[in-house]
Amino acid sequence: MLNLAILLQAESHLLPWQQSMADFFTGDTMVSIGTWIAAGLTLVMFSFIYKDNALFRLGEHLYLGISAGYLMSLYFFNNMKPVFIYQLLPWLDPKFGTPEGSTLNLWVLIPGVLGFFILLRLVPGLGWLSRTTFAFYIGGFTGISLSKVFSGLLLPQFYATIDVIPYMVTSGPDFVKLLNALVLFVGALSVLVYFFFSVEHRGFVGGVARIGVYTLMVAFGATFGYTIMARVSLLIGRMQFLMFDWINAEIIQRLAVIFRGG
Amino acid sequence: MQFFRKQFPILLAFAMGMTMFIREFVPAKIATDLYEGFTKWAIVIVGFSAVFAILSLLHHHVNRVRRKVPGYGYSMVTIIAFIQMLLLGLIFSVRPGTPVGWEYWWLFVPMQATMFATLAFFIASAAFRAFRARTWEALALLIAGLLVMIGRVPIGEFISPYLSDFAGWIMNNPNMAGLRGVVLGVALAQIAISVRIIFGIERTYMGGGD
Amino acid sequence: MENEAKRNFLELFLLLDRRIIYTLVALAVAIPLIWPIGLPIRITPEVQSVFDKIENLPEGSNIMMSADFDPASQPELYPMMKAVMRHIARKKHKLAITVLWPNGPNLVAQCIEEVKEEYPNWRSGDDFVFLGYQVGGTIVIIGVGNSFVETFPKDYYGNATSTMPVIKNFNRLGQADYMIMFEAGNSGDWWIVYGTEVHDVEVGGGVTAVVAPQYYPYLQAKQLNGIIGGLKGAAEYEMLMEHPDMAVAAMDSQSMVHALLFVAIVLANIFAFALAIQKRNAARREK
Repeated sequence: MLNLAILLQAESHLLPWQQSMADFFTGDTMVSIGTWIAAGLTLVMFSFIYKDNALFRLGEHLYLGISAGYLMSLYFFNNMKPVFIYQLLPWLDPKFGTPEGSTLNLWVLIPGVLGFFILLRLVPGLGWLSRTTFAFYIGGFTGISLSKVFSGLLLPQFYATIDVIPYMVTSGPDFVKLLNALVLFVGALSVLVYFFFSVEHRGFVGGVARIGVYTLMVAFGATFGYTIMARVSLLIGRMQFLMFDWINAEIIQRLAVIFRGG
Repeated sequence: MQFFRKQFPILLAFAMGMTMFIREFVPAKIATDLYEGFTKWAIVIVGFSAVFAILSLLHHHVNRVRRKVPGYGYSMVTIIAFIQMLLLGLIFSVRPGTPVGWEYWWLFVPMQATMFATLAFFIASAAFRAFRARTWEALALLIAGLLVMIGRVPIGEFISPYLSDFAGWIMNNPNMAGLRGVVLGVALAQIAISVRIIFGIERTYMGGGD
Repeated sequence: MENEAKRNFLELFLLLDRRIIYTLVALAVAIPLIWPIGLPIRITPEVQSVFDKIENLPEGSNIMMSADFDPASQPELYPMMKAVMRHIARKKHKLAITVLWPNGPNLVAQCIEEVKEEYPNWRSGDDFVFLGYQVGGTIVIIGVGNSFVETFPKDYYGNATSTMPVIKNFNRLGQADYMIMFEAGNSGDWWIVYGTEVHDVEVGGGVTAVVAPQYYPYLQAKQLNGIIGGLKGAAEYEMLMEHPDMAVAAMDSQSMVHALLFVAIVLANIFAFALAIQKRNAARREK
């Protein structure tokens, strides 16, 4: 039988048994066991490079289950408890009655009910109730974002594009500055023209759209180069773990200790 | 009842959208209170939607086990892993120094990191076998990609500082210009979609339901 | 006959078994890790800007940090986050950390523990507050703009945020003197649109290499003051901190793989072009 108090107190401060547990799980033995398990799972996931196999599928589904369980626990502690449960039932908060404790806030019942409607999507015949929640949330959020996207994204980016026009006029003998300003202005504008499909891309418009295509190709090429960098970095990270944290620390060094007689 | 199923959500979206938009231009305390209140309520609602997402996943795998479809054993692994992680998390919390913290660091992190690390092999193989400059556009993409790829790492800087400088120029000028066009397009599209949602033209966000 | 042998070689090269490619990539990563080359690392202006900003802020300034990544991006973003966190601890700035991605909080907690080993007097509640993760993405950014305490009543460790000394003068995004965000996706766009532009806070971005190019428009528009891009950016920051660590150690491997792929792609294109010419000539001769 789960003790609700322990469940709700679990993370508010470290009790002595929790401290012992922390020392155990961060101790050398568990770190060593963890390293071997991690190395095994890493090799299992890498086996997909050769071909799809049962071990990989097992690892994949294990990852899915662990991830879902972790997220559910996290949502409970980080979201459900502090912003919903403690607002409705503040006496469950271990710090209730102190300045740090929660206070009763019945208004939270309204978003709670709206949130519950989302869960009703799993119940046949009651899924339509979730439309109210989505309408409330999405409607409100789009109202906020309408002005924010305009003032925080569209206008600053637009100003930054036309801001280079003075450089094209006043750059003088600084050809690099002039070239940069031209590339920036013409490139951005031509990409916008390329994406404007309401006018046929012929003649002058077609020519500008062509420049837009080449600008986009250069941008995608740069993105490709950086993507290679990113993926290789991830591989380097795993190789560092396998070579140093597993093979070197767990195998070579332990064998060295054994052969040297401790 | 039909009104609550169909018309009411559209009216509610309109009311909420217009309220939160107009509130931006009202310099009064009620506008700030509305903003803060909506934010607090939205966090509660999004929490439930996150829980729903996980329950949906579980629902799918439980159905697979119930119907004993081929490969349902894998679904059982998912369900068992989920239950043990949830129980341990609720009892002991999810921080480092707990069973869940240990599983997170030694099971979850290696598996997720490795899944993405395998992409390095695939991208290398794909780049070698398929990246051909058959058109002028592809040639532009290839040259930009190769210059950035070699210019932005120490070996490129070692070969020639001009390689590094030119790669930097590509990032700060043509790349920036191209993606600026994309960003402006995205911003305009976001504004258009927001208006469509508020005025009830766009309703796909509500999902199905009965 | 000679042409046939040459053509076969060209075709053989272009149809190289993928397992050979995988092996070459693995060797290009592994060998420099064992025998480092020590190629010099040049600092780019984008990374220098972020470093200079944090370095030149008066001691005790408020810095907001958002670590929006998960273990999939850990090899790139963890080293740069650690280097920046070290910098902030060294300069004795006040730090508020939030996480928008659910799989990220434990990574940040680990990083904090590692930095605390180097700076034992760096204390939660007094010098920094790890607010943790909250569901909502953009809504959390809006909430953080209103109040840390109301969005995060408890910090990651379960302590009430309302009574923390660091919160007294730093309870919302607008009170930050600078923000640094670590992004593996598009949440950086949200921070700029809903956070830093609204509250007029200067922000620097530490981003994975995949998304780095798309943040350059913000850099040019001065909506970002700098970009630490990918593992190379992390290595540059470690060099600026004069504390080479994981990222610097990985740079030689990065260089070798890039050089391998550069040569392979160039040769593949040259050989494909040569093969196309040969086939065209052979077709003409047959006519």
